[in-house]
Amino acid sequence: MSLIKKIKQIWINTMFHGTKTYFDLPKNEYDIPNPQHEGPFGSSLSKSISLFKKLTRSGGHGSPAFYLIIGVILSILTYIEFAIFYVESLGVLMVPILIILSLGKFILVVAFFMHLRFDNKLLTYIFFSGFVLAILIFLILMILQAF
Amino acid sequence: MSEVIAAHDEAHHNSTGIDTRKLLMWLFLGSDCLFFGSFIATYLVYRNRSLVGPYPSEILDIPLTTISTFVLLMSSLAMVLALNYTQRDKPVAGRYWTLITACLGAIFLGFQVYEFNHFVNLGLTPKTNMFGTTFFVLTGFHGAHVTFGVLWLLTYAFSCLTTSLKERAILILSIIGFLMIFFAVLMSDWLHVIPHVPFNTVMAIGGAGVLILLISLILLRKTSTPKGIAVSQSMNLELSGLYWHFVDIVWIVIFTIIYLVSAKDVAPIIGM
Repeated sequence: MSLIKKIKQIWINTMFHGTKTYFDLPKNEYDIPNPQHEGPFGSSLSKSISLFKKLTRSGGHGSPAFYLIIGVILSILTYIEFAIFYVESLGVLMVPILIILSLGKFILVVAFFMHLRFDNKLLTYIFFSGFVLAILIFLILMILQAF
Repeated sequence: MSEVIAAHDEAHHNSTGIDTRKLLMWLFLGSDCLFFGSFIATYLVYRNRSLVGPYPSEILDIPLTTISTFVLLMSSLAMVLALNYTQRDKPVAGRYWTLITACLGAIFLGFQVYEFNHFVNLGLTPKTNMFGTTFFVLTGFHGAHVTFGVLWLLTYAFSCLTTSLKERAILILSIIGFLMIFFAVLMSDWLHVIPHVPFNTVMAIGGAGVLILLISLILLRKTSTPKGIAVSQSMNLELSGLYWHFVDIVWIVIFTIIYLVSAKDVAPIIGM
């Protein structure tokens, strides 16, 4: 029951300005909607953005359920990588797709499991200076190997 | 007691406001990026340069490695839950999740032991070809990192999550039980890592291991640790957690580059 109510609320947030529907043309100046904190999709977009910020920023640390969701996303990404490996028709596109997926997993683990999203920015700079140096060494080796 | 711990903790702060140990841990992880980055680059430089077989397409087993990758990812999840529960002053849940993390790490190591053993049986050693050399050095160093992580977690569970002698004895018992199951699986017929062990012996060792593990885990459900001790010690768990997640992300990269991207490599065309 509460799920239906929530879906109804999302529908109202997306489609309505107050009591007026989003696509109704105003007939007089009182009908012109002047809602605050609303974007192109009613208030649902700004509400979901603030929910994302609340989930990933506030309180310093996430709840166990939040980490569980991240774990599920990581498993799904791993399964997608595994499934893509057997798609022959992708050809040369396979390598970039695999690298993007693994980069996504990398960022999820570093940002949330290692708490970099919640922590002091200095730690991010320290880690990523090492990471960028590693990428540079990697690229230089690959370029030298070509000659 | 708590004042002593608080004074002890304050000594670790500096002008950045970050715990010095944590700062140093991140510096170490940044430098470890260079370590693994060099090995992965070396692997790619010598990719397709093996003159004799076996080649990656002949021996790499993608489904098996996907499962072991999944195990390592789940151990990372268990690690973050362990830290979360410990910081919320729930030492028992924190202890269980720490043990689960170490257990999943050991299972990952088991997968690696099986894989190395399987490769050597198929004729791939570090001396065979360039693929063998670069592959074993890279995954071997990663496995060494995982081994060290498992030992670190168990040491932490032993020193910070248990206080009385009885709890420590039970913890050691649970580790012994797990190791018995671990070796029983390695001895079994379908893995053949430790060959020529009679079936009855394997079953006896495995069964005893399961029994010991279950009993000791049930006994570990209560703690005599006073409130607040686990929270004050949670920085130690956070450091080992950072190390553990780093090992996990290194494996994410290795799994993509060594296994998925180059698993279809065959013999190079001579004369290019």
